[in-house]
Amino acid sequence: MQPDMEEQYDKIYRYCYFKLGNPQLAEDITQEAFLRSLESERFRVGGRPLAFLYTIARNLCIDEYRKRKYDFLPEELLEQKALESGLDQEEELLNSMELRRALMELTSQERELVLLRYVNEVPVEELADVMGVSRFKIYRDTKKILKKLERGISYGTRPKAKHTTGAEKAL
Amino acid sequence: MELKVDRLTKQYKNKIAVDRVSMRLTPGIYGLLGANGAGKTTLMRMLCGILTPTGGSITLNGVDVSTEEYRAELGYLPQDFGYYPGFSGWDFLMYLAALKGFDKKSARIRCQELLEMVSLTEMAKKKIKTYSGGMKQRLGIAQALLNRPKLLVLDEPTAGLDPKERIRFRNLTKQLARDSIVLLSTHIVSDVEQTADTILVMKEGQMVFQKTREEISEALEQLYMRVSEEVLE
Amino acid sequence: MERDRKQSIQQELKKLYKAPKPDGKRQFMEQYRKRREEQILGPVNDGKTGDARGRAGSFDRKPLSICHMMAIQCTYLTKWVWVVTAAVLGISLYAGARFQAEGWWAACACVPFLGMTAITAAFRSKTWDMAQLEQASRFSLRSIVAARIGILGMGNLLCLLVMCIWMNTAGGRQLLFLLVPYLFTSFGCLVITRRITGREGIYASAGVASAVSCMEMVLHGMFPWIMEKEYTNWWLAVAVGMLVLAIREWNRSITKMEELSWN
Repeated sequence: MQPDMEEQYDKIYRYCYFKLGNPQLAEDITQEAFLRSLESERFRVGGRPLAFLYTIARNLCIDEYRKRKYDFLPEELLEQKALESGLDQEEELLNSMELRRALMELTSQERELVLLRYVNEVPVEELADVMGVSRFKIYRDTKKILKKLERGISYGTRPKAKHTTGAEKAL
Repeated sequence: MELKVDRLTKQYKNKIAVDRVSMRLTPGIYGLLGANGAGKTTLMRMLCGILTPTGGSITLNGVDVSTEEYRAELGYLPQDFGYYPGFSGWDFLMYLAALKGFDKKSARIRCQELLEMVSLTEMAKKKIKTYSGGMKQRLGIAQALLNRPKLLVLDEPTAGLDPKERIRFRNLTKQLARDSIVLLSTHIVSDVEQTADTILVMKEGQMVFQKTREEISEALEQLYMRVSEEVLE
Repeated sequence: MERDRKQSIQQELKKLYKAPKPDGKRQFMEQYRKRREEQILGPVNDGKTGDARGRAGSFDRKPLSICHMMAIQCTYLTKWVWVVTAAVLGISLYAGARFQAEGWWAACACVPFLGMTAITAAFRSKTWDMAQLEQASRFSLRSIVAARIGILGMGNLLCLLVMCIWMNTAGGRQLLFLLVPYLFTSFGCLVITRRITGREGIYASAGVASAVSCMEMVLHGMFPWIMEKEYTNWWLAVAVGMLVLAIREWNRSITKMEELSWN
């Protein structure tokens, strides 16, 4: 079935924003992806409309990044900046700080997966298409990432001790 | 693109339902007004090849109404329609798409698109008996558009639609009228007031009025009443 | 526990990954929707090879064959048709094997239901008020119903033949005993479907079939001599008579379905 395009606009935009740090560019790329979907037979006929949109967006982001290599901050700082500006003071809880820190300890590919799978909730089959890997790998990787995050959070509260079981901390 | 109706007549044993109606329609919106029993539905049924006329002819770009060629360019929404029990909106559309000649793959794409157009994507897989009146009507509109018809015949299409749906419908017909002939019958003058390019009024089987929007100076409501009265005298 | 944890992490992540509001969304989506509308509702640009609209979602404008139609109708026959047919065959064959000649009456009693399913399935369009929509499709309603009855008729005929062969019947006499109730029921159902729509029509048709079935059992029980050779001609006459009536009703039903009366 066709995805809800209104909803996808926000999601693709979010993805691009956290890749580039620039809201204007993010919107331009989102709109470009949408326009291309109108022209594409693959989008209409094929079973993976979301994969199409994300692939276009992803490639355009990469192109953009390459083009303006020196104008942009390295990708990681970029993301950190974007993440930081997203929080307002009230929401700045201890937990979020630690989560953010744990996030920054992941690789940028892992962060991308977090954004796509957990924040944007892209279905696994489509995600596998976009990343060019098997579904199995996606499941494995996301599991790994989740564990890393969990460890990162609980490790943060008790810097001295190392826990093998997850701490019962209400997030 | 021209629909030519020439002295079309439908006569029953004791009544003439449609009496020598002639008209030429080109792409645009035609509002067909008339009281119950004026012959609107009978006329529309003949235009769809469902009812055989007792006199006169109907051709679309020279193609006669009785041919399959004609029906390939036709989209029809009857005043009332049913559905096979257990059908979901999706099943319904797919079935009619099959009857209109779509292969499975094309049918799937087309049905998806149309459900999107009438905002029925979430309800598509649910059974039609759970649909509200407005939803069922929207489904009916969707099926009429399956084959990108050049001639769209809609019998009381806004019945059961809420105001928001009505507006959506109006915009839809405006888009359609660019390349197709859209003939819609209604009781509700406001339905056609803003959108119709031409107004047709039927009374007792006859086409008593046929004028374009530019030619009409007064408000439609008054016009309608005036015309109805005039013929009475 | 794990799922809760995962969910709460997910919630936190969503909060973290908040992007500033996209300014151009509303304007763009309006444009997008408009173009989508044009794409879906507008005409197809034939002859343009690169046109996505044209290739996918288009359909054949060549005339469609009756075979194509039969295939479609076949897939849309309700499951009841198959269930009842299987049941009728099953019961008849079993009774024939178990009770030999006596079992023949089981077959005769079942056959009305075969007729009922054939008629109700063929005239579904009228029963469920789909006739107008089907009529405005590429096929005429007449051909749709003809296709249905063609499939069902052939199926039923096959059943009857199978039953006859199973019973090792020498003459056509036994076939007559099957045909008469079948035609009787068909006639009754034709009349019913023309007058009563919806679920009630189906129930009424089932009622007719049951009535004929009962009548047969009564006949067999109380007047078994009716099956003797002397009366074959009577049976033949009745069969022919019913056939004529059934055909007449058939025509009436088809005509009525096509020419929906105005009110």
